[in-house]
Amino acid sequence: MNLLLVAPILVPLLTAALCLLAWKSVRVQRWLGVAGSAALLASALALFAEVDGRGMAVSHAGEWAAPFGITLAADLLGALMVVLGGIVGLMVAVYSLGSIDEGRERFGFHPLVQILLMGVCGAFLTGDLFNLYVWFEVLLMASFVLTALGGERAQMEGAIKYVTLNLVSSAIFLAALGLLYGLTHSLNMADVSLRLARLNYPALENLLAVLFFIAFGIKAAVFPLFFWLPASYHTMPVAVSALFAGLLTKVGVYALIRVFTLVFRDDVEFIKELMLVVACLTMAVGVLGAVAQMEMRRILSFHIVSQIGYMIIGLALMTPLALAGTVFYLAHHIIVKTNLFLVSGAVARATGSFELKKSGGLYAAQPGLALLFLIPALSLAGIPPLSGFWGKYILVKAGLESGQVVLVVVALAVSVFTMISMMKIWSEAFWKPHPLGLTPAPVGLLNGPIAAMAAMTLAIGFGVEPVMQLAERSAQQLLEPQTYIRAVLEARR
Amino acid sequence: MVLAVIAPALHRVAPEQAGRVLALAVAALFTLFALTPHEAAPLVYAWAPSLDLHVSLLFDGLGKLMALIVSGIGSLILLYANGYLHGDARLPRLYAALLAFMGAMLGVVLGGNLLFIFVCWELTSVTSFILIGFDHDRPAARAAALQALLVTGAGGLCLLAGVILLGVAGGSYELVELAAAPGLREHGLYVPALLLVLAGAFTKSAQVPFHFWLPGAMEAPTPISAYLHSATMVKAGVVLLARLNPALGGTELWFGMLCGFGGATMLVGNLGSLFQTDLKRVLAYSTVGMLGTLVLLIGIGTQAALAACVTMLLAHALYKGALFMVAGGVDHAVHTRDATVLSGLGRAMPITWAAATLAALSCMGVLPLLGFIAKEKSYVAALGAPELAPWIVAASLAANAAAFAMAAIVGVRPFLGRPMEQSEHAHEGSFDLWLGPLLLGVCSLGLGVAAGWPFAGLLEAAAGSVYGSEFEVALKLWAGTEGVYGQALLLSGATVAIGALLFALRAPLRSLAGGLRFAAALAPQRVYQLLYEGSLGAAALLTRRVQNGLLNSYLRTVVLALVGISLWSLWRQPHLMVSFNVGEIRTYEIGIVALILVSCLVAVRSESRMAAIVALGVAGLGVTLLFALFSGPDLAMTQIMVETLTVLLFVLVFYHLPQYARLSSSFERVRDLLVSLIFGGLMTLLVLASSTDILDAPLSEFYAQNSLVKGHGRNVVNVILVDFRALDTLGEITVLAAAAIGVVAMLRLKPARKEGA
Repeated sequence: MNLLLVAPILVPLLTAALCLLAWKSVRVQRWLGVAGSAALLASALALFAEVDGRGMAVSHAGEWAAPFGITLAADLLGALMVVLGGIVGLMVAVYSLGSIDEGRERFGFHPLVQILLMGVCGAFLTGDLFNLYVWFEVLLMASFVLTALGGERAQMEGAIKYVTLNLVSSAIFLAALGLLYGLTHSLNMADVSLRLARLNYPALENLLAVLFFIAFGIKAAVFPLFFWLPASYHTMPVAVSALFAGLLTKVGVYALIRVFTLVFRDDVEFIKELMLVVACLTMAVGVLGAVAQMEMRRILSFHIVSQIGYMIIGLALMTPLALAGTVFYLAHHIIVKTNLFLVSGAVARATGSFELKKSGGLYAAQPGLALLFLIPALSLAGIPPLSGFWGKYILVKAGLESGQVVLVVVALAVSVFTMISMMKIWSEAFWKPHPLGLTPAPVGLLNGPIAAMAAMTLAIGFGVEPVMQLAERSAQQLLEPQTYIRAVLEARR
Repeated sequence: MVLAVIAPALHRVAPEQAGRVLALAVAALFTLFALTPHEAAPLVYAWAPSLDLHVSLLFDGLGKLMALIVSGIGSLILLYANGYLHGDARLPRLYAALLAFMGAMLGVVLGGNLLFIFVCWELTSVTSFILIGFDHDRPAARAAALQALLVTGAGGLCLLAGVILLGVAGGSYELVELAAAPGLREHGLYVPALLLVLAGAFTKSAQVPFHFWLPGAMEAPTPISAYLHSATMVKAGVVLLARLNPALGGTELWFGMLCGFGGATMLVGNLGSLFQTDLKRVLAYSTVGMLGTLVLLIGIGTQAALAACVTMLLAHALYKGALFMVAGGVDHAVHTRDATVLSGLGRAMPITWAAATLAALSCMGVLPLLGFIAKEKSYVAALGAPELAPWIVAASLAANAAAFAMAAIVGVRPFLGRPMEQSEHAHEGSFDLWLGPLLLGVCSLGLGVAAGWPFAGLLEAAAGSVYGSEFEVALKLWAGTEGVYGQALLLSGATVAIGALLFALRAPLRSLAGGLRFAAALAPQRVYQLLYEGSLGAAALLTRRVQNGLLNSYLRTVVLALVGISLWSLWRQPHLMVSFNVGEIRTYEIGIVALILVSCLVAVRSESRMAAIVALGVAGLGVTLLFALFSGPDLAMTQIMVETLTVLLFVLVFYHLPQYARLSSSFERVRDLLVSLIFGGLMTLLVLASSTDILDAPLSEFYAQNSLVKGHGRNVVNVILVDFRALDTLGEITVLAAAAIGVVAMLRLKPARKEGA
């Protein structure tokens, strides 16, 4: 067993177990949460260093060789995603110290966050399709309980839509798995990939691919499957929506990237055509939803949808540059989007409301927070030299090189609308005087994680070169799945 | 840029002197630029080579000229801001933003890599947004800031696409390499790339029909308007065109686009300025006009035109910056900028008057100021245009005459005549306020008298870098009366005459043409409003329809998407093999399936919850039977327990719930039935198609052989669960734990009555 691969799953599991043991003491749980998330980040970084050096890390659970047991495998993308998961986990754990009410803390907030992180890391690291399903279940249950935790009326309504649509996703995923197993008699991704290639039966393979697309597409919140996201993200406490915003949909995107670069690759044209349409519509419909909102978290939620569209572009073009753009965009987006949700919480804390009409006056009162908002907001809108610009630039360039004019036009127009809605928040919450003449309250501890993540955004923006090189190497791995397959099927440890 | 960071700190240390110290620092930068020879080797720093992004700085003639303008006027503006907003708590933020802008602007004018230029370009847009919205308590300022940002931002995105296309076509983002790239003008991407780049440059430099944001930007305090929106930022588009001229210029398309848009802008801007009464708006329109002239001159592209262009660029920066600062000084003194009211201030504000007079004379193009030389050169260029010369000359004449009248309105009239009411309180502002305009005015005079000295060499080099190779530029105050020079002189005379006439007629012009022409000039503004509000309205409408809040419509959409995409896939690849042998079906299997189907139907149709639950239970038992029949006794046992438990729990929970209510119409029910049937059919098809035995099944074999030997268990299913695939089981146990937490929380945690944040 390669402990590095197991640690990102084991650490949050242990933390969750310890939290449950310390059920009575909220204080102990809080510090367990922070310490556990920090340990998770450390283990993720160690794994990343290993993968960065060797290219791949593979481990078979219980020493049962592939394809008989369950394989854990990390390529650069997987390792990078685990690191990002660790970062988001740590930031949210710190942020929740100052923001989550004690009621939620007494009823399992901290262990649930850890279980969620476990599911996220498991999904990023597994090399087995059924195991992926299990991690999805872990994620779903933890996130559902977190969504419903607190039992406020609006929350329950959001939670029901959330869980119903995600259960549909699970059902379709399971059905697809059954059919795929019936066809290939295997669940190991690398093995299934080889067997499908041997089968050479694109008509059926594409139909199965559609099922997987729907199942993961619901998770990733692409058009027309995204409804659960804007229906629920604004109902939860900010620490929870920030965690979800950073990681949940990205697990879906990751799964899409994984299966469509590794498993279903006999009829790439089909995937490309499908993803092209989906990417354009997702970008456009998401951003139009965002500009129609006047509540900060709703605006941000719709923007998640819109930006998932950008991430799909890599799959729609399948060129090295486009996939590198997708990987880059994923990294940028997770940091920025989590941070924006955290900022929205700070704004609401300071001005008393998430509703833009009811807030204001922050620029005059708290220029520091204003700056901390501008960094992720302008990054999201793709203003250079912040991280979002490079993501957009790479994808647009890839689109132009592939001659996809419609895609490029949509991507650029969407970024105008993104700018509109970011500036709407700026104008209303920061520039406009507060409608009631209140002076915004200080937000204290909340500034810490916000500032840390803003610094990361700046670092990705100015230090774009190493990130881009990583993205390019990762894209190369994705486009040459033989390496992955060989590593999984030949690993002896 | 570094200064931007330390500015607020400095202000805290020395609130009175911060502006002056910063101004001195920038002045030192100016001196540094001035002392550096303009052919200094380009500086290159590889920022991100894998994205072809290099910070290469081109300190050629054009770069140096613009750097001097940006830093020189910038230094005066910092000083001016110190006086203009004296004691304002927001002053440190203003310094920070101004300096950040200055850094970005220097990047635009000195950058030699298109991508790097673009990065700085967008930064100037953002800092301009922050600066226009400086008075952010006023909705008008916020709206104007957003409008400017959206217009220049949208243009910026076109520019980005254009830059990428140029990079693809020319193989590089380096301006030097693009200019040397062979066949760029014949490349298939030349036309789209050029159009996109022009869209970016035209929006930034406020060309018709995108000019409307510039007068709107006058919401900003005067130091900002003077700096960004007359002397520097709006020139970015012009500078970009000048920079690209060696690489892209000289084609029919280039000439047509630049002369067309530039000429139209020149007329609209200059004539439009006459219909305004607010001094700053008058100046803004005239700036629009000047930007049009510069674009037109680049479009003409002859040596004479480019020489005129760089001379004009310098002359305009000097006099327009001064006029703006004068307007601000007047506003500061008497609290109005209404050109119809201002009068007789000369006595109270002698220094400002002197500065205003010098700047206005330069703007009018009167001998012996720099503006005269520039105007003469532009007439020579118009006369020598390769095509359409008469039209260009006529348009230039009209524009220059209007500029003459405009300068009289802004720079002369307020200081002459009977003292106005408020003029008793009028007083000269502090040294900070008048030094800037006076210095710029004196420069206009000095450079004119000395025929460009000490900048003549620099202007020649600048014109050379726009043209692509050095050529001789003769800057003379008196070029003689021979040939074109004589014609140009005649035109100048006509300019003065018509200009004076326009000035005399300014009042009737305003009232007469106000309604008509003003509306025409504003039309693009209305288009912008319509587009902006229309798209927001459409977005709201669409979103209400898509995200309608109804769970069943969401579910239907998901299923329809699945079915739709599957059908599309089948249409693409119809070769699906389905092997189905009717003979294999046994009678009792039909019976079980019928049982399941009927109970499902009952469950759906039932009016009472209890009946539905029971029916579901029966369906579950049917599935259990199937498991048992197909040699899965373990599964059947588990299933029967689960089914029993589920039914019991359902009964317990649902007992207290009210009866069903029927919410859907019969049409909806039929539609949903159809959707379900198609979905079911599709899944059936998939099951039949997937159950092929083409491939071997090593897994079952492996499990059967090894469960006892290596897993030490006789029950294969158990060994799979706890050994072969133990990780799955661990995961599922975690799911149960999470669910348990949820149940406890839902039972015991009462909702708190506040918004969680």
